[in-house]
This record gives sequence, structure tokens and C-alpha cells, in this order.
Amino acid sequence: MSFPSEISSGAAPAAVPPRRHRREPSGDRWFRWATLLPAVIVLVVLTVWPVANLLRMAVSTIEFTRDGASFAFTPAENLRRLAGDDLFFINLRTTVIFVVVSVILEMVLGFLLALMVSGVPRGKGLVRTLMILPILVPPVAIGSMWKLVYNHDFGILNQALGVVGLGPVGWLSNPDLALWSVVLVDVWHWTPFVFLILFAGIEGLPREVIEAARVDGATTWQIVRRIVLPLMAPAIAVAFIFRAILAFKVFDQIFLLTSGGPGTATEVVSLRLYRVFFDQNELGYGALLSVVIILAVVAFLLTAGALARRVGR
Amino acid sequence: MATVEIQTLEKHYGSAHALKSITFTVRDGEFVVLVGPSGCGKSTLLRAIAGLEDVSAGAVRIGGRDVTDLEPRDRDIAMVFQSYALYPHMTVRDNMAFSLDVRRTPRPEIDARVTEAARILGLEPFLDRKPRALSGGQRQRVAMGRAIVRRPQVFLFDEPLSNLDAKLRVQMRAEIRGLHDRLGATSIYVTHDQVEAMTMADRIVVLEAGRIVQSGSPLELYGRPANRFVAEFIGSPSINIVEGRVEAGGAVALANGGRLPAPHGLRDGTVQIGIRPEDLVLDPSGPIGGPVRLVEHLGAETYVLFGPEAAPLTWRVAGTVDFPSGQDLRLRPDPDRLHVFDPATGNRL
Repeated sequence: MSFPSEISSGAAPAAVPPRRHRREPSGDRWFRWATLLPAVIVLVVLTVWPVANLLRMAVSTIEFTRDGASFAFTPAENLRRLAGDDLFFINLRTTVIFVVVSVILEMVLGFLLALMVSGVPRGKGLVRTLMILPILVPPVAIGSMWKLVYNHDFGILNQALGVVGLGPVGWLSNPDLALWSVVLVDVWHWTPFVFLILFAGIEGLPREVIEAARVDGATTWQIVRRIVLPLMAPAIAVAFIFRAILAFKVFDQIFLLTSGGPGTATEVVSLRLYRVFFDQNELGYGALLSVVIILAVVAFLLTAGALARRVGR
Repeated sequence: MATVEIQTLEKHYGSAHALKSITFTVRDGEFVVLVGPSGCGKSTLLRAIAGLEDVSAGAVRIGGRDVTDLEPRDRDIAMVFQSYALYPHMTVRDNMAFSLDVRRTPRPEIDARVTEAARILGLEPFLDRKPRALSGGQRQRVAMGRAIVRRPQVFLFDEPLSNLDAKLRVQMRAEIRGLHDRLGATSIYVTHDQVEAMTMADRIVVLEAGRIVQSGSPLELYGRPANRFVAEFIGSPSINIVEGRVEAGGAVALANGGRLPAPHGLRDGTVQIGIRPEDLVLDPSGPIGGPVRLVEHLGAETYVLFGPEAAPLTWRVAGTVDFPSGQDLRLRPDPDRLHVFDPATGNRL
């Protein structure tokens, strides 16, 4: 039996025929585009068009007349107004403080809770169900509930302080305390969300890898720091991004608890936006503030991502 | 290295009794294989020795020290897992260095030990790769390397070859045994593969339903199985079992009408006779036989399945032989190599 010479000698084939592209039947091509079209239309109508319209509004002054809205192209004026809007930058600073503190607390508490519950031999399902409850409570109910908890005269916190001879404290009326009181409510509301994502991540970790680390001599802290945290990075990133975006957009609970007060102590950018859009009817300037907030969120996430990568290294 | 003493170890999972009064000792430098079918408790026993599983009662001593209540990190052991359990986010070098690093070993010593282990295992070209960029065999070697850099008192292996293909498994079992001899290590190795057990062990411990049923050298277990379970578990192809009745006059009457000389000391009654497939020879007047059902050619040897269709017997013949299907075969067992079991208890008589 003999093999073809170019195979038995191991030499490269003399000439490789040019690769032929199979011609797609036109019916298939049309079908492919036709099935994609609904998704493309939904994307354009619900995302691209609103963003384009927001950008158009951001560089305009919009006035309402009997004939409808009239757009005047005033980018320089809008930007000049933004540059001189000290209140907005105070709002932005308040928002960043709110986001950083609440999201960090939620991530740390959520991770610790997930670690603790994953180590419980029984009842994980029950704990997971109980943890979902705060997420299910409507924001209006949360606002009312916590307003009662923080009430200066008969709130449970001040009553508890009264028992030990302290207080009463103006949880929502003291400008130095109000933001932290609002942060506490956000942490109560959203830590379970972080817990659920991270708990699912921890439960999905390969058990033998953790056991190998135990046999290798690692302490619990070393296992968490050097094995669990790096392996959990994707779940942590998802939870962080979700929470940071949602925290930047926080509105309802602050509106219900303090309406941004006292003064501007808890006025975050979404409350300011609400006022500009709906109280002052300044749609063009409001749109510009929206664009700035979107850019701030993106900058925040990029900075956080870069920091996380540096810490990871 | 050290001895490992297991004393009356018990493990309960709720109402399930996973380990039943397990007692045995692994001598310093010995390679002991725990073998048994799935669910027999061999992995639970290994994990109990490692400290990954709490025990319900009993004691584990390593090097004379009671480690029953100690954490795995305090037992001075290393373990190779079935899935290798490499740290996926670390390089091969970091995987191997991890155990030394967490113990604050000086960096030059870590580098020296990792380099030495990598050289022994042929892993030097892969030190900066992540596990996902390695083949199954290379990952297995990294898991071995991670164990040997520690220089522990005892090596534990939990079915480390079961994820490898057949050829690599043969190669790796020789490498693991070679490494054991070279390091003079005390090793406990869990497998459900009796070929691995036979080829690697100084001593095999056979478990069934959470209990040790026999412990001995591979040839002891093969040549004098303590009961029918061990006889059937050790050896491939499996031992033939035929029913018979001991008659006055020193013969065993088989169910098919044939007669075998009865081994000394058997009392009257029914028995089960175990005959290894290689202990049969062709004999036209042999007491065992039946139509040929299937002939399996392995090249160096041939398995001939014959007799009743529901439970055929196996004859192992060296070299290549062929028989047409349905041909009547008559075979004679070697009377000195018969294994006789009590049908009620399964114990050797």
C-alpha cells in the first residue's frame, strides 16, 4: 500500500486552492435581515432616538407656544449656565458621596452576609427568601416606614436613645446627619440585592478549589482574599455596576424622606433634575444636566473599574 | 514521612451510616490504595483523613499525633483532587507556590522548590501559563507539583486519574508510583479502578458499604479473596462463579451435571465456586462447558464467553484463538486454584 507522495514525504501541498465562499441564497439573506428588523426598530425607537433627542434638547432652549415646542439652538448659553451653576455641582458632590458610601457599604455587607449564609449547613433557602423581602417593598412604603422610624418625637430610634438617656436626634432635620440617614435606608433596601447576586456567585464556586486551599494551609482570611474574591470578581462587578447605576439615579426614597433637605443636604442630582424639568420647565437645561449625569456615571464606573484592576494586580 | 493510623472511624450523614468502624494503619512510606464501588465510602474516608469531613467517632493519627479535631492545614498533608482543583486565576507557578506562600516561606526557598518540582514533573515550559491553557495531563501534573512542593508527611489522592483518557492514565499511574518511590512518601490513594489498585499499591484496602472487607497486597487479594465481593471486584475480566453441591466422597456436583474435586475440609451443602478466567484449560471431558456466545480479541489475549446466555462464563486464553458461535466447549479448572464461597454469607470457605 502506498500513500500519495506529498503526504508520505511530509511536504506542504504544492498549491492550496483558493478558499471558496459559499454564496448565500438571497432568500436566506432576506430572512436573516427580516428577523433582525424588529429588534433593530425597537433599539432605534427606544434607545437611539431618545438619546439623539436628549442631545438635541441639551443644546437648545425649548419654549412651549400654542403651536407646540419651539427649539432654539443655544449650546453656548446652556454650557455657560452649567459652568456657573454651583448648586448643581453641590448636588453632584452629594450624589457621589451617597453613591460611594452606600454602594461600598452594600457591597461589603452583602458579601459578608453571602459568606456567612453559604457556610450555614441548613436553612439557606429560608434566609434567601427572607432577604428578598426588602427588595419587594414599594419605595413609597419604605419612605413612610423609615420616616416613622426616624420621627423626631415618637420614632423608634429616638425612643431607644431616650431609654439610655440620650437624644432626641434630628435624623432627617440635622443637615450633618440627614445624608447618612438616607444612606442607611438605601443600605437596608439594597444590601439584599447585592447579597443575592454574590450568594449565587459563592454557591457556584468550585468546592474542591476552596478545599484545596484549606489543605494547602490557607487561613479563612487568606482563602477569602486570595481565592474567593478573585473568583467572585465577575459577580462582584455585576453587582457593583447595577448598584452604582441605580444609586446614581436614586430619587423616590430621598424625595419621600427629605425632599432633598434640610436645605440642600440630601439634594441629589435626580431631585435637581426633577425640579429643573417639572418645577422650572427648563427642558433644554435639564437635558444638559442629564447628559452630564450620564457622563458622570460612565466616568465613575471607569474609575472604579481601573481601581479594581489595580487592586487586583 | 509518617504512619497514618485510623481507629474505629465512624461517619453518619443523618440516618446514613457512611463509615463503619474503620480501622487500619498505613506504614511509613507505604502506598495504600482504598478501592471499592461508588458509594462504598472510600472518598469519605480520605476526606476524613484530610480533615475536610468531620467524623462522628474514632480517631485519625498522623505520625503518632492525634489530628482528629485539627483543621486540614494543621495536619501536614497534601491532597490531589479528582478535578485537580487548581486555582484558575493563578499561573502554574503561583498554584505550586501557594501553599508555601501562605506559610510565609522565604521567596528564594519558594522559587527553588517550585523550580525543582517543575523539573521533576516536566512543567518548566508551562510555569507562567494559567490552568485553562493546559491539557488534562498537564493539569494533573500541576496538581501533583502543588502537593510535592509542600514536602508533607502524607500524600492523599482522590481518584486523580479518572478524568484522563486511557493511554494517559496508564502513563500517569506509572509516574505517580515512580514519584512515590522517589520521595519515599506515605501515600493513600482512592480509586474505583481495580487495575489502578493492582498496579500501584503496596497494599489494597477494599471497602464495601462503609466497611473494610479485606486488606492485603494486590496478589493476596487476587489469589485469596476473603469473600465473593472481593473476588468479583478484583480481577478483570471478573471471576466466574458457579453453583455446586458438596457430596460425600469428595466431589462438588455442579448444576450442569459436571463434577469437580472438592477442596479439603468442605462440609456437605451448597457452595459457590469461583474460577478465574485464566484458570480454565480446554479438555473434551472437562466438567464445565457450554456453547460459545462471544469471542473478544484483545490481540495479546482472547476472552471467550460461553455457557448459559443469561450468565455466561469467561475463559481467558493467551494469544489469539477463534471459535464459531454456538460451538460446544468443554473446559477443566485448575483444582488448586478454586475459590469456594459460602452462598449465604459470601465468605471464603
